[in-house]
Amino acid sequence: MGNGKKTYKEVITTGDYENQGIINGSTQELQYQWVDSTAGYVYMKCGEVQSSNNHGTDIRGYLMLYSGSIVSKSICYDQTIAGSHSLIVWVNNSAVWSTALTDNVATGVTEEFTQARGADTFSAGDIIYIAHSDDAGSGNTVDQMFAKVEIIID
Amino acid sequence: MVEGKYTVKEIVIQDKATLSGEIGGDIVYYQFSKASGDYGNGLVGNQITTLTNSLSTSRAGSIVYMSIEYDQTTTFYPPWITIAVDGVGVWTENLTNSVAAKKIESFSQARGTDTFVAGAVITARFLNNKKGVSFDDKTLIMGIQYDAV
Repeated sequence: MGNGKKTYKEVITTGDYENQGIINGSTQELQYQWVDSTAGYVYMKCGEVQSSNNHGTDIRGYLMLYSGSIVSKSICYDQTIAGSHSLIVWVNNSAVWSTALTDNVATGVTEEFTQARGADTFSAGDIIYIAHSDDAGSGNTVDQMFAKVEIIID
Repeated sequence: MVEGKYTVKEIVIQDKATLSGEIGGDIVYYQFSKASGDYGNGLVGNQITTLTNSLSTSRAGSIVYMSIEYDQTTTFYPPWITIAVDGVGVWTENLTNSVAAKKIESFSQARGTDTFVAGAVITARFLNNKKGVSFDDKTLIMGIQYDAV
């Protein structure tokens, strides 16, 4: 029997969970990649399309249908030349979440980062994309980058 | 009033569920494709993956689902798909060996069967025993179920 509203701090289902409406708070992941060797600041591709931030006038990335939060990011890459470098998530014209990556010349490096829901939020209509930076001419060079951004809808 | 922890075997909500925290056990999709008939690793976007460079996981979890649409032009080279975790094939499914376009097939398995840790590299491989023949226009979705947060 369906009835009114109950609020719990935590719910655990040991079997299935069926929602006949919508779930506010569901998760999804956005995929990006950049395979060519790069020694500068690069906005990764969304499929075949180059994401970009041309001084706020030509922003390209994935358009958000709902408001939400960015809660994790991950990257897999080859580093060919040493130097400090970073992974940066952008929302519209703002770099909202920048994290230093390990400076280690190696192949198949994976790094992943999580943060609390609410730390970096977005609104419906915002555009999300991701960049890799060589940290202002550190000399760092990478290629074969595959990255993901995990979002939670409000 | 906010009550504490509620554990139940099954929940059905007839309208809207609002979660202020996160969903442990949520399923997300990883997407791979390969238009050409070549066998091998799938592409993410327009870039070919390898066994060491592909999508990497943010959290630990399980691979629970995969679905594929593809064309097959001869039965002489039956196709199959393999999911690799950190370069090791963990889940292989032989596809129906018949000539047709826009074939669709899907597979599921129990959570916990093929698991991964945070930082694992996940690759989808489209295979048959004859490079460049028979197995075209492949698009695949993989269901990833994360562990409890």
